[in-house]
Amino acid sequence: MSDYKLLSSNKYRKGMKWLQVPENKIDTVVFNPISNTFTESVIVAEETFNTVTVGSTSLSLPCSTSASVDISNPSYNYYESWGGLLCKGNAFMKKARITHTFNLENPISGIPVLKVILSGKTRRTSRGSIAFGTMPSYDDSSSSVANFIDANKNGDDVEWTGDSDIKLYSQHKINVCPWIKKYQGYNDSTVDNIITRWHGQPQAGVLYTQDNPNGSDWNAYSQSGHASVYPNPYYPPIDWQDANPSVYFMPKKYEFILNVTRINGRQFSIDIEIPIMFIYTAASRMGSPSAGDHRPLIDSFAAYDLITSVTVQLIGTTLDDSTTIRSYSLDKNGELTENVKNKSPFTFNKNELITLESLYGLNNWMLTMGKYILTEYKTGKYVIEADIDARYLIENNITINTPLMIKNLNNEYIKRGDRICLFEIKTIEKKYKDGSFIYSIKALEASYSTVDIGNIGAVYVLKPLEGETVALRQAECLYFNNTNGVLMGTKDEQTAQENTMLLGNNIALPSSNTKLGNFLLVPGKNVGRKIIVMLKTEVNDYDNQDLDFIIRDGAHGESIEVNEYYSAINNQKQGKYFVVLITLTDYFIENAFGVYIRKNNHDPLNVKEMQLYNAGNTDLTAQEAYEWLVNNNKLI
Amino acid sequence: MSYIAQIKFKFEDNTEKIIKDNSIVSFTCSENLTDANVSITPGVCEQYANITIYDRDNFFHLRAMNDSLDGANVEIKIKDVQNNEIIDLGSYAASKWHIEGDNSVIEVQCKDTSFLFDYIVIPESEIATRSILDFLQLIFGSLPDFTYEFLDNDTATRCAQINVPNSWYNQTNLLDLLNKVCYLGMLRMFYKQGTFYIARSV
Repeated sequence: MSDYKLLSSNKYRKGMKWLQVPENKIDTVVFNPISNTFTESVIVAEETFNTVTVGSTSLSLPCSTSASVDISNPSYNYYESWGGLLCKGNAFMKKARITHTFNLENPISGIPVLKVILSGKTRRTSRGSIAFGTMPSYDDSSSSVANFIDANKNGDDVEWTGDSDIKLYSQHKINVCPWIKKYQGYNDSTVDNIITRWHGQPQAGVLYTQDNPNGSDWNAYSQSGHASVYPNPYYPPIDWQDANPSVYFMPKKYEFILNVTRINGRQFSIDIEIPIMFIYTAASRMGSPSAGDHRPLIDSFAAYDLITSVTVQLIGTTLDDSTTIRSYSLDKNGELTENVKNKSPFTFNKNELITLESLYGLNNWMLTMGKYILTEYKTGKYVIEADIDARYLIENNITINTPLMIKNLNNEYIKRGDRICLFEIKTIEKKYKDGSFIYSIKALEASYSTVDIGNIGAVYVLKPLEGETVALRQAECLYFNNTNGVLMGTKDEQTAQENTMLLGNNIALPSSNTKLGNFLLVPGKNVGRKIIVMLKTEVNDYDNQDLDFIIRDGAHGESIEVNEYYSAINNQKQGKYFVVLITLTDYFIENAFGVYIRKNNHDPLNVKEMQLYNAGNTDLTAQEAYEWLVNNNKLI
Repeated sequence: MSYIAQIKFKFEDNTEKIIKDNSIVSFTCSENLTDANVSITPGVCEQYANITIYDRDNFFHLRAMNDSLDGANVEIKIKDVQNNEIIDLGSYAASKWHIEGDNSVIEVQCKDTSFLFDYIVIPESEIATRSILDFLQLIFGSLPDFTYEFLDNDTATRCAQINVPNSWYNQTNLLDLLNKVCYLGMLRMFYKQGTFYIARSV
């Protein structure tokens, strides 16, 4: 029994149309594949926050200068008697938290880098112009110092992004210390000599690498023995060179918390803790504490930074979804060309699943599918329309996609050349009226064809798989895999097994550049079905004992040699033919099998051509099959 | 007469009306894998049914006057008298009614319920290398009420062989995503009673 149903003209209830539909001609395929390649260091998400969280309370930026602070680092009034220097100061810092979940439109690979940009403003006093005694004391509160700055501010607030001239916020750690820098001269005010300018690296790193600074405040620390005077390795080597050697201070440092957590490829949560306010005051003058404020001022300065907004960026490795247009037609040799005809194009619009890197088997999807469509539709497709008694179709289990051979009203097969066209039903309109039940069908010419071999059944003609024509010559063995319907010639047995004997549906087709045989056999895996394998070689190529015909089980590697094969020389065709009949069994169907033909001394085969025929469940012998092929002029 | 038909209307208020053979003028219902031009354009194919019946007891006319025809579900069955076998031709949603006051013959246009797939949200996917088969398993893995079935082995093979490295998709609806999958595999699908039937368009 054939795998195909036959639809004869006597089944038509109302005529039939046989159309080679011109609309179905396609001469150009147009793709818009997305790149889908990873791009490095792209900002994949950005959010600016004007509200932060302090404890469990939401706080708008900028915060009030009267808000409580988290770090206070006073520099107690200190008198260095032998140098005659008096100094004082304080530094305050308030921190806040931001948590947020980013939802990305496109997924990214891995965990992105987190970048935090602080925007803020600075209010300051005039440098070195306020008398020492007027400047805030070490024990003044942060709000008191801020009020002092408000009352004595010099000019407008300075807006900034990234770093103020007081702190280097981009280092993601800041020193919270009032540093007073002594000048040999009076009020030397070059930019580099701004007092308490803390450089994060490397100075701060050197300075604050002490593992366990003793003392909770400056005063205690100064007495701890760990406090140091310049020059000292704990002091930064640069920018502190003019420091008074006897100035004590308490190193305090605040490091930002910058956490980003991957929830999935599109969702990332951040949890960051950053400073939102920094207040600073420092002053120094010559003379003992008892001396009046008329003694020469060395320097004085006070300022505060308020963070006005926090911008968070996620920088990740992302996929590029840009598209490029690729258009192809077939050249006169049936190969793809970018010199397109564009009269009847078929277009693939942008679709994130269609990418430059998509694969069809091991080959590029776009080239493979494009060539397949163009090859199949270069002359259009036959479309059959017919009204048929529903009973006939129902009882014969003919439904959508059922393969059919169709005879026209003259009771002749619809053919292309000597090939009988096969059709698949694509639409059915089920019409009921007055007890009459009719199916109006439209059947489209399939991508494969057959030839009639009378009472044996349909012949399955090996067809190049989507355009790949391969020489079977020079192959050592030929394999047909029943699971994926692939026949191939390979240079050796190992290659054949690697490429064909895999189980399941995830079988990768051999790539075109392997130059292996790569043919598609029309599927149909009925148990008991017989397949005629016809092999044509040169007349003098092989004796019967030269070839091994083997059925091989893919799962267990067991082989069964086929002893019943027939060979004959046909002078008219100038070739020697080998014919073997293979019967499909449950065992092989379940476990995948290969028809394995090789020269038994492992020399390369010199096969001119090969065809597989479906012999249904006939009881033909190999010789009878050969004779039938001769009598029906089927020899290749 | 070898077949008799029956059409059941079920309305949103759970009212049911069964129309038997002697009140059925005619009907046509589709089982289409492609559009009417049998083009290769991939995608999900919507089914339809056109029904003409006699409103013998004025049931539909009364509902029309009460404006209570919307949302009717329509089941069409046919019985093979010879074999006493019932064939389920499908379930549809009534989309358009043609009812004239002075004519007892009414017409109903129906479509399948695949338009509802516009409203089924499919969440975005992670980056991975996936075959079409993987996409289908991913999509239908989250939709316990639906499944899919290949109409032939070649379609299944193709779906296993086509792979997209670094694939992903954004959140969308079921219909949109299935159409995208169809283009990748040059596939056609149609929906019938909980199952998407899949075949190649070329």
